[in-house]
Amino acid sequence: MAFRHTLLVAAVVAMLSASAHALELDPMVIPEINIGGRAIVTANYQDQELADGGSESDSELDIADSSLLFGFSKYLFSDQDYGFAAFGLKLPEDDSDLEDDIYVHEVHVGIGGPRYELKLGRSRLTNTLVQFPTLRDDDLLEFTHVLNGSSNAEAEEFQIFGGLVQGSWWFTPAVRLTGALTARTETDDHGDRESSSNFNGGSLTLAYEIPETIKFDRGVRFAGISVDYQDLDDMVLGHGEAARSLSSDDMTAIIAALTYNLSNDPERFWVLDGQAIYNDGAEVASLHSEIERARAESTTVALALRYFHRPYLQTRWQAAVALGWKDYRDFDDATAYTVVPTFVYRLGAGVDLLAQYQYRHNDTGLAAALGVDDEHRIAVGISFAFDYTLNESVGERGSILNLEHDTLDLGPVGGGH
Amino acid sequence: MSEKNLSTPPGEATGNTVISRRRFLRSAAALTGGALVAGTARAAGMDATAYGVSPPHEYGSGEGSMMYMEGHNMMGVTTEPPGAPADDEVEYREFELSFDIAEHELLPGVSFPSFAFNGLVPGPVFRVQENDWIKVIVRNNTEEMHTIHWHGVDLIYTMDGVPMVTQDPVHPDETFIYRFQARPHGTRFYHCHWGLPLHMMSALAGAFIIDSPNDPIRKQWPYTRDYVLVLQEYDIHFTRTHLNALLAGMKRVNKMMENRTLTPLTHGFFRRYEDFLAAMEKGWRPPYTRGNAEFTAINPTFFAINGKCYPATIGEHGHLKIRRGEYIRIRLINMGIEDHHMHLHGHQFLKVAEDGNPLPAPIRLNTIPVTPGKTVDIIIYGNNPGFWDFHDHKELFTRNNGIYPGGMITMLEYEDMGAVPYVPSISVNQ
Repeated sequence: MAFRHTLLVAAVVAMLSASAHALELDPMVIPEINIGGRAIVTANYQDQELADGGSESDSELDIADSSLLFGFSKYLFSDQDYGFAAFGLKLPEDDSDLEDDIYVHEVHVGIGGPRYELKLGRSRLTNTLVQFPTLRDDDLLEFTHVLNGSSNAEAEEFQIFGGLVQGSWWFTPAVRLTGALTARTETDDHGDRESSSNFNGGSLTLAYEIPETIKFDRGVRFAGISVDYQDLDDMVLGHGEAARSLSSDDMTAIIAALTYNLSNDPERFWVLDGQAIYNDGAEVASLHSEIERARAESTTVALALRYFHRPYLQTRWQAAVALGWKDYRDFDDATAYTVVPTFVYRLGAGVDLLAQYQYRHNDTGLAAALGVDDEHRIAVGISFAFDYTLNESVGERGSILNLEHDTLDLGPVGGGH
Repeated sequence: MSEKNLSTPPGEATGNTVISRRRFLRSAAALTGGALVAGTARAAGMDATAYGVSPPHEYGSGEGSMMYMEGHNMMGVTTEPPGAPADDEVEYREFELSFDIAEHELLPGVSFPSFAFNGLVPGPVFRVQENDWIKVIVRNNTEEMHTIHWHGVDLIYTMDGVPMVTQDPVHPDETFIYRFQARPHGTRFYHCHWGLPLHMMSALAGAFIIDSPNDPIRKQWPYTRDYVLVLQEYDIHFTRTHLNALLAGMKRVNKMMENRTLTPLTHGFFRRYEDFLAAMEKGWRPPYTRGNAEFTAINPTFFAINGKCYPATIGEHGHLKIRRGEYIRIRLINMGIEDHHMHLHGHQFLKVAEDGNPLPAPIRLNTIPVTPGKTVDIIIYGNNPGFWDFHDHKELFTRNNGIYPGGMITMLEYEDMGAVPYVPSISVNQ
């Protein structure tokens, strides 16, 4: 109950910010406007060896994860502090619960200053610390994110994005502590969305981070540890004899991650990413549903090795291989692993040829629950990405001038940059 | 000590280079079979035109440059280019400069990060006497490359500070020593000649005043005060964003230099035009091509006199003072990219020099255009007591970020007015 009260106070604080709408707006004070987006289209082929001995194959044209993001920012009267907002749209997977929707994945506002940043609204959750080099957000989702114990939908959007009241404090320009109250999407047992606004968790992250623009010689570029807490409601799954009850519970996951630059050659650049998640889970009886797998006790490790080829310091191609391993500790033979080599060839600024192969193997126990032993997926396509700034007037927190020259070249961490 | 000048044929390189330079040249020579070295020449009985001028030259393009050499590294090097007398041959006046990054306040509430000589915007004012031998030891404390061009000074060509024309750029952590004779007298200036748009927006410029006891202007109008007003405009957002982008790129370049893996193509250096064409044929694309180019607009919104915008120009930063019956000299230097039309209220002044050189006859004006790269000297005679506006009459430049009054406004104040009926105050938003 105390947790719910805390959440209520946070919600009131968030609502109070809306009162600014009562004040006049000066149209002469134009914000910085960031417009970013990516159109990604791939032809996919999938082949599955089923747990019952059969096989299935499928092919599709996939436009999922194409997105458009508008960011706005401006300095406040204090000059050293800034305000920001973002609106983002994203296309969900064609076979997910959101198939016909355009998902609003970013709607947030915030303020920040030399040492702090406060963000309210829907945004990327802090349930992963490293972005792994796959073509789409969900390619390694089960291996890289703390999953949503309140959603039984297949929609990756309900796993990656959510409501949050997030505050960050920078002890040094490179070391921050981020705390968030989170409102993950809640669904019913069929995966239909019930709420995206109920506070039902929180996280605390301590991270050391140096942008790649500054650190490309050998050594640690990111190191972080995070605790992710979820407050879970009860739910009944299935019908008749197959009915299973999920009780009200909570679960806590610990995430640790590291990004290490292996080389010190900016033209031939090797990076190793690693992340481990230990989830203490909640009581579940099976692994048949999305929500049960999200709530199950699990240990996850993901690794990625990336190579950037930048002759004359012009990025031409990136090759990467990502490995994922996950064990549902409460279940026998419930381990999965995946191998994902990815190749991105740059045709022009922001225009890339894409190719990815993914192999996934499920142990017998997990295969029985999912109905799939082995899976092969191939994706080949093109992406067009851009990031353009109008009325460039606000700095960047990760800029060299801010981090190395102490010139208060500040701006929002997100917000379209 | 051998006596050499630039007519030394390639492959016969000897001389008195400093140790670090010599060490570098050894590795460079191994790659190319020869390189220029620092030379000396006797100063006695020679003027500066004797140095470095030996037509017709026998060298191919890029001779003496390290920039097209694979794996070149200039970090930590002290470079003393050839052509000037050695330290023991003339008496040098020695100065120290540095290329720095500093945060500069244009006026209260507006600061921006900038390149800056000795951390100052604009750079420090040199005041030397005509024919002084000048030695400027400049150290590059930034991660970017720079040079110094001595604008309007007739010097030895190897000291002219134009990258890839008279010298290699001064690399990060490199010390470069300019030696030259200060002549002719007049209002000159110095500025970085590398990456000019950004570096000019970044205030890498300063006044270089060469005095002379024979200055005809002083003789004709015996002025008692001598003001230097440096006119510059700033797009502080362009400067900030491009400084960040530049430093990000240079970190990689410098790392490659440290690793001795830097190639000429990384920076776009070519020994010959044919080499450039060959690289294009092989698929290398320069950054200005339409697949790579960014559209960069420079829109200055702050306009400064001596690095300050009105009302910060009032006071120590350009506030001009005069007394009745007094001549004062004002040296206007346009180190920026815009034209400025400086107008003085209540007076007709005399334009007495242009580009630092005395005019045959003065021109009587009250508004004077100062275009980019130009210097103009004016003489004001104190004959109309009061407080008088002195401002750019291109009024778009008398604003701070679009708000009038601001920018290039200062004031001529009579010190001997006694009691006055109205005294100026400060207005920042009309």
